[in-house]
Amino acid sequence: MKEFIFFFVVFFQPIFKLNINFKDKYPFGLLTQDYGILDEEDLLIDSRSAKPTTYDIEEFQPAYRRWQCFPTKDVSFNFETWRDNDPMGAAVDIIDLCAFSFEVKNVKPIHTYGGRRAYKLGYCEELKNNWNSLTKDEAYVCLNGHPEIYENNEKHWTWEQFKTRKGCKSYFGPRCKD
Amino acid sequence: MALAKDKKLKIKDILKKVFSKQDNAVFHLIKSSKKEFTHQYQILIKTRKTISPEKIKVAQNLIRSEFVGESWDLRRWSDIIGKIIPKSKVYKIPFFDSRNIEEISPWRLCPIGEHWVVRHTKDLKSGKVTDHDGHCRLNPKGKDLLKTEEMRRISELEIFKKVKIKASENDLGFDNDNKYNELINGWCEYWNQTLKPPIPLHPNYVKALIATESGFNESPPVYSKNHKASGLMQIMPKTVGYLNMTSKDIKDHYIDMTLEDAKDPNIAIAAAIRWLFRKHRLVSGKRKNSTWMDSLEEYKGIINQKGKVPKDIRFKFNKYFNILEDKKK
Repeated sequence: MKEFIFFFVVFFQPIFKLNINFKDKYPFGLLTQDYGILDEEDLLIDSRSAKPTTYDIEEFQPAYRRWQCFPTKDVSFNFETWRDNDPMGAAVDIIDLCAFSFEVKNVKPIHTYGGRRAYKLGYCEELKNNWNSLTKDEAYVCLNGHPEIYENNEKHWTWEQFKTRKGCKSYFGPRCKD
Repeated sequence: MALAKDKKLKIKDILKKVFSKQDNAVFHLIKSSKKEFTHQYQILIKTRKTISPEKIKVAQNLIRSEFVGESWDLRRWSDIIGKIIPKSKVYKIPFFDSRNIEEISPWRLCPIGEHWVVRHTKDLKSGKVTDHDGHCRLNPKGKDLLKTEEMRRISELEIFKKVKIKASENDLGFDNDNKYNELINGWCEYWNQTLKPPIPLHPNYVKALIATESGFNESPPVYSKNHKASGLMQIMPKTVGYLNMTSKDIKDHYIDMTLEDAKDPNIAIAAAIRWLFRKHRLVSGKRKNSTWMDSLEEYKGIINQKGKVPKDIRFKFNKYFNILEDKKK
């Protein structure tokens, strides 16, 4: 038994240490455990683009992006569609538009990660495909975004990236380039 | 009686001062040797626009005071031709056309309808190379066209930097959220003066738009096959095409730019505000008493959408705007 405990500690220590370090090193950038999904560059990118600040869920703090990781079963990707003129094209071009969000349920408060505008339907479908393939058979997923409004027990974020051990998908930035 | 050349020039100068391009008026002289005319010289104004009698009187008085002792008369074409005088007694070639008046905006290097060409060299057939200094060149169809070089020059003007209506400097939480205020203020004023909307666009709308589109990040590339937006204002390749002169969607006041130019905050802000004005016009046609907030929603593609997700986009935009406007909600 002693040998087993020794083996367990020696073998798994670097992993635990690595995770603990991330949370310790970037306490404002990583708000939950990362379950071995994130690497240091994920957190460094955020602190390069904005000054890290303490996190207060009730505050409007949109500059510094932060990570949260959840069981995949608690996170859903949804989008709504409608037909209207192309906001970035001609008035006569009637196209299928969409708006998407990632919703984290079974936690209090609820977290909603939304997009920045309406998109062509193809973009939401592309995100849906990425979501399905990257989260399939994955126990945890990490979400990155700008924390914005807190109201009625719901925290609203602007979505930037999601990541599992399989890979990631981001809105801006080259790290998750297809 | 033929008019001397210098006299013609003086009259044209007076007409240029009193009338504008927008009057869309053509001025004809009546053949002067006819005995039935009470005046020695008569000018007829032909236009489909309504020109006030006071304006005509002002021009007439200026001409009369310039040529004391001569009998001059200015009349509307519709008041006299076919009623008192037959059309055959009018010179066919117009004496003056108000549409040819060169209007130089204080913001612009060139008259409206021309664009600035930067200094360049030209290879001649003879093998010589000539050097051409910067100059104005007539646009095809005479429409207004802003080129990126001129846009950069406009942003350096004193009137651009010292506009009266300014964006709020309230903290939105970003490190550089006040970095682009001068460009936002200047281009809002430029487009307000150029396109003259009933209610001018306030720079706070544009600032909130930047916060929600890019978070004041100058060149965030979007990596997607289906969404290729660029720069501070997240301008799409399609929009760049529609702002260009080839567009049928926009009738005038074009912008000649590339998607690469959209990475320059100066060009991006100017182009996005122009596009926002296009959206404003579109919404005004659809809705009575439409507001700039409606135009912003049209820009973001969420107008008329009541679902949870579009509502969330609207909710976040309003938050930024309300901080700038010092409103609690």
